[in-house]
Amino acid sequence: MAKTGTERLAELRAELKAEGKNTRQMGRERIYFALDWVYRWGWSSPSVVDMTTGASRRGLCAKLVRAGLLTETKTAAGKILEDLPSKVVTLSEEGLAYVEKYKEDQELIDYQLNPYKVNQALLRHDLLSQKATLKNLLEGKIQEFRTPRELAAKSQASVKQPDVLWVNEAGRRIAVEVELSAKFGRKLDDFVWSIVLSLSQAGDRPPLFDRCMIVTDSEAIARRYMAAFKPGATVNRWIKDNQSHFHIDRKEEVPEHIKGLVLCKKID
Amino acid sequence: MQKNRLIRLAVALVFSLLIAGCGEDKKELQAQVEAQQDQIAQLQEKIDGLEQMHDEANRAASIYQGCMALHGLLSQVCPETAMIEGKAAVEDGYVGAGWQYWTAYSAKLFTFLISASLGTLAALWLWLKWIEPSAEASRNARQTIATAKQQAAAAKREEDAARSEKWQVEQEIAEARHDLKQLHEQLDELRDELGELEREIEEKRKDLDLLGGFS
Repeated sequence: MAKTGTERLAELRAELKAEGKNTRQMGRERIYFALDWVYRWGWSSPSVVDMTTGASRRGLCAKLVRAGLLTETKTAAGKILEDLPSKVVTLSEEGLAYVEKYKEDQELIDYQLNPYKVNQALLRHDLLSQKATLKNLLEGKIQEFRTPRELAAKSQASVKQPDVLWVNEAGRRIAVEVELSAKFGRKLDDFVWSIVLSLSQAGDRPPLFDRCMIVTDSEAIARRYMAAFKPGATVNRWIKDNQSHFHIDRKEEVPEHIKGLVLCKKID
Repeated sequence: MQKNRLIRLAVALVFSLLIAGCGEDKKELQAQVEAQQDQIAQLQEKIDGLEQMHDEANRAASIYQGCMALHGLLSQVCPETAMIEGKAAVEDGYVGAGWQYWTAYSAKLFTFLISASLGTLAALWLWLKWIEPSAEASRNARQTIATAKQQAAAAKREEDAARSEKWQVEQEIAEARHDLKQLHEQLDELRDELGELEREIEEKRKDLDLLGGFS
């Protein structure tokens, strides 16, 4: 039986009272969480910002735009394709200042205020990552996450930088790759090998991830990737010559311990 | 001796008749010869009577000696008169070694030999009868001992077999315990592996559940 608005409000007040917070404090936290979300991802969509509250009620994004904390920008393919947002929101200078006020130095990232710098080709790709991350976060399935912008500052050569890194309730680090376009040849080999390295111990360095999950909307991509990550599968290692041409330098095999660490899922 | 003397008197009479010239005195001589022949006949009768008495005395002595040789065994058989006469004859100097004596003596000896043989046989028979139960008992005892030895050997074999079987069973038990221990260890390892697999499956399930965020 669905709860009425009065009942839901009473429950929320009881929860806040239990946590020692009042409604105003809770509202500020929601605003900060929404702005921080945009800060960490670089951009977001109005619907995702509204979802950060965890409630079905919408209007937070519009409120933040009106307050001058977020900047709303139409996308190039907005409303033409079903999966793409018609608008994206980015932090305004005020919004950036508000967020960075509470950030530690190591948490600061080089935020791009110009909304036209947002890669329009990756809108669907990034939005899928954001939605899945937010959904798991609100449902308590993950404790924290790292966006590509956060990971870029700490990435190492030859090590895969995932589309998002999730840390689940058990503390396991799960790299998520959203692959909406097929990779072939050298790019596929580099992709496979970088994930293999990230899942492997290298000297004293422990594995960077505990598992890698690849999400794709193509059955063919899913099959190709599962075959590529099968233990014993050959992976070509490429090298660039003086003329900037790539050649196969050597061949490697997917090690046995990778078995079961790479999961692939097709989404609709 | 008397007979020889009479013969010598007759020969002397013949010579004296020859020498005297035997014509006229022939009748007288014949009368003398006849007288002397009568005398000789009387003497002969006397000699026969004496020889008969001698034989009878000798027989009585032999009978007496024979009876005496029997040592009273058959004394009732001997007539009292014969014993008296025989004893008198022996005292008169008769040896008494006639056939009666030898017959009695042989009978006594035969009787003694027969008795001794019978006694020996009886003793032998009794000895045999006496030792027969002992021999049978000894045989039985030997049989019992042999049976007991066989039973003891069989029991020893059974004991050895039982001991061997016990040892084998103990070995099997030890091996079974060892195998059981290994199985327990394997079971623990498998449980650990199962726990690890279950943990991995649970982790995988949870990780896969995260992909629900994309739907």
